[in-house]
Amino acid sequence: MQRSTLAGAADGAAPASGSDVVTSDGPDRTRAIGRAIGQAASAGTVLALVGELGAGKTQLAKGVADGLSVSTVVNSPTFVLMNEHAGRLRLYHIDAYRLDDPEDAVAAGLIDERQADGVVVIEWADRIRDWLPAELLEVVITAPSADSDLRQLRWTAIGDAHRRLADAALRDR
Amino acid sequence: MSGPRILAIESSCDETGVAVVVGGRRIEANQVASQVALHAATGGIVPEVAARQQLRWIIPTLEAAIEQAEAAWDDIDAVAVTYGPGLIGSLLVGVNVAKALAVTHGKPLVGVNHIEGHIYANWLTDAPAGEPLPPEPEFPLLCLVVSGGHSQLVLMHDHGRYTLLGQTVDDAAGEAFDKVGRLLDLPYPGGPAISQAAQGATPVTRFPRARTDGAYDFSFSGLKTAVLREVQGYRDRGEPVPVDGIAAAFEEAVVDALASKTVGAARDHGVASVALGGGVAANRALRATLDDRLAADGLSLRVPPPAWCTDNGAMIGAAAAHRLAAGDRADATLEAIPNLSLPWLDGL
Repeated sequence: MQRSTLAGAADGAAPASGSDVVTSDGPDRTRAIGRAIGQAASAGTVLALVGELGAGKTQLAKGVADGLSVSTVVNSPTFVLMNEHAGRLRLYHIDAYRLDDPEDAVAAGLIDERQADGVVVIEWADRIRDWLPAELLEVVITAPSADSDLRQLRWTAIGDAHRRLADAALRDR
Repeated sequence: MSGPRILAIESSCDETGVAVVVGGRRIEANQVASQVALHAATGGIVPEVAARQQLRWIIPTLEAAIEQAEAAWDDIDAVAVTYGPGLIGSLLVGVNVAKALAVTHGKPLVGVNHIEGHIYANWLTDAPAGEPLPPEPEFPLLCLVVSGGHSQLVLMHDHGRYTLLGQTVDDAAGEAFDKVGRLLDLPYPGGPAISQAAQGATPVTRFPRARTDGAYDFSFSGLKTAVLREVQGYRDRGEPVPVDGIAAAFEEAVVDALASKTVGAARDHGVASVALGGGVAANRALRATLDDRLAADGLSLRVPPPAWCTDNGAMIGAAAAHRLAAGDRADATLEAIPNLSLPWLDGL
């Protein structure tokens, strides 16, 4: 499990803001955090999610969809790799779980230019870190432990737009 | 033999299937090249590899199917192909080969939804030519389609007329098996591995059953998290993880969810028959539990043989016959659609 942030691997051109942490005690709270991100998102928002099986990545994505007023069912794109949903902005929900070779992300058509006009949520983003856009909001979710439902969502924003998004949606939560 | 002889291609994921099916029922050929062994090495499907393997196998599989059917192109009435849902790179291989064949040989082209194919597997038979065919499923038919990528409870009123009663709101059933298999360090694919581990084992716990907003929806992500926490508990205490007992508890929870929603839907909608489709239909515990619970309502469960439950061309040929009869023709503009949905009727 990679605990290091994607930000560390990104190009140094965009200064990274300080990262911060919000906590969640389960799926409802995780979805609410996602909803806040979805509500504050704008065209070009990229949300990179990192965390183990069961951490709540899909729950966070469902919340983002909610915040974008998506009405279709948002389920795991593990099998098809990417789902698209119509909403206030178009949601591209990507899942890199099965990608062992990052170049697959390009070969499989996961990354394309249309996404600049919508909102992109990438689960297992650490598996395709070389192919991620330079500016993004990364959220690393720790898995719950055997005796606690609590998870930490540690976020890092890269670029002005994503810093503003993080400030609006995540700071002081 | 009545009905059209259809050459059907399935390439939506990691199986390359080509079949020849007559009248939407009788299989004359059904050839499948599978990549499961290949993907076992990586623990899952690798899309680029899947697409390359589709390219590698499509022509040999096609040739094998034509040879098995002892058919000449003059005897083929139409070409059918899965155009979604599935992996785009894999779908494209089948769609383009089907288009080329249809144009070259001057045959009608029929695009088929993969999910519809899984349902129509229940119409297939390998009865030899001239022998009577087994009875068809009666409408209204309730079909539980469960596979690596799909978990849907479909009410079929008639040919081509479907209502989506429920579906997974997060992970597909087969996906949950694969991911929990990985949590338990079991080999890929997770379904057969978990079933095998669970067989004869006593569940170590009772995992929670998810509540969903929709009466017939499924949710498996909470279950996945519960398994994760259970495994972590043993690891934290430095105890060996009772893989078999956890597998048994997990399988029991999945089967219970699938069976109770299916039986509930069958009752609520007064269906005439109930069927399974998709790779997870091969799960013994699911079949036994459903059989048992449906018997109480005087219903019996139809389950196609395992080879017709996993992805194959024959099921596409069966569905295509009814699409063709309904005048549904595609042409050279047919596109692969990764998130294709069936044309659901509005809710009942």
